[in-house]
Amino acid sequence: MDNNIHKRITLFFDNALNDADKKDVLNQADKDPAFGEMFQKEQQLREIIKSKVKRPSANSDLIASIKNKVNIS
Amino acid sequence: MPLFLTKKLHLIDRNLLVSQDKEKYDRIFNEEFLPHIDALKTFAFHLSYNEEDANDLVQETYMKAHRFIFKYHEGTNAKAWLFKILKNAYINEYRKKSKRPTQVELEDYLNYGEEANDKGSGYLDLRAEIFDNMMGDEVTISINALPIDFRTVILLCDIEGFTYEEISKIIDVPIGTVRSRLFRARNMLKDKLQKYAESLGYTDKRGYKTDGSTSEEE
Repeated sequence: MDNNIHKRITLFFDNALNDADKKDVLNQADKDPAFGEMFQKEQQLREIIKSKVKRPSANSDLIASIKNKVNIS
Repeated sequence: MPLFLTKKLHLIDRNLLVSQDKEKYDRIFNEEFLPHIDALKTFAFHLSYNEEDANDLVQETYMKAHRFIFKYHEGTNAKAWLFKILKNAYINEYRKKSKRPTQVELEDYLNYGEEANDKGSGYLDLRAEIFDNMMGDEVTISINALPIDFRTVILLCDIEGFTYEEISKIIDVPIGTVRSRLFRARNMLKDKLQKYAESLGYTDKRGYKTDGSTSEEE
């Protein structure tokens, strides 16, 4: 049971459910406190990973160097 | 029409075609490829572990993309196409270096699956207060400590938002393998983050230990 819930929530956040199933998950998260808690924790984890991971951006020198090498303006 | 004139017209047509192609390819490069440079840099950084190598990898990716731009269909999935090129470039060039990261041996993981009764697949006690105090470095270090094949799927799915199907194409493995790697990778990541939280003095309210067992089982 727990594994099935986990699987559904994972598929939801992986954007692997169709619209009807997504809606269903959201409804269940609203109605079922235990499901809702699991949903929130997974959401939290995803947000933590996304927001805390280092994302070095490409600087203008790198962009200029690439453009120069492929000869485009 | 005299032959010399036919040849001249043919040459003009050909130059015009080349010029039109260049214009089209430059447009694709500027409008469809370059907007993904930051995402590619992040992916490259987490594969290669440092900015200098990441820059080289990104540069190589764009050069290869430009060389084979005629194979790309305008308006399709440029991001996935570029990520695939980058992943291949990394495998071909950067893994050969001495700092080659640990590679997952498929055989080591043949027996796991997402349907497995894995107690570690539960939810960690990820209270906001723990992670508000967590520097980004801990998440980055935890991700970078994952074996390369697991790290890759986390980066592609959780950071970049690719679908299972896109990831499958980027890393050339079946969708089922993508899903099972993701399952395992997330458990490993949760485990690492949990250990970090415990090192800060936080304990899991549910009684889960980092080995996946519970106090109730004892």
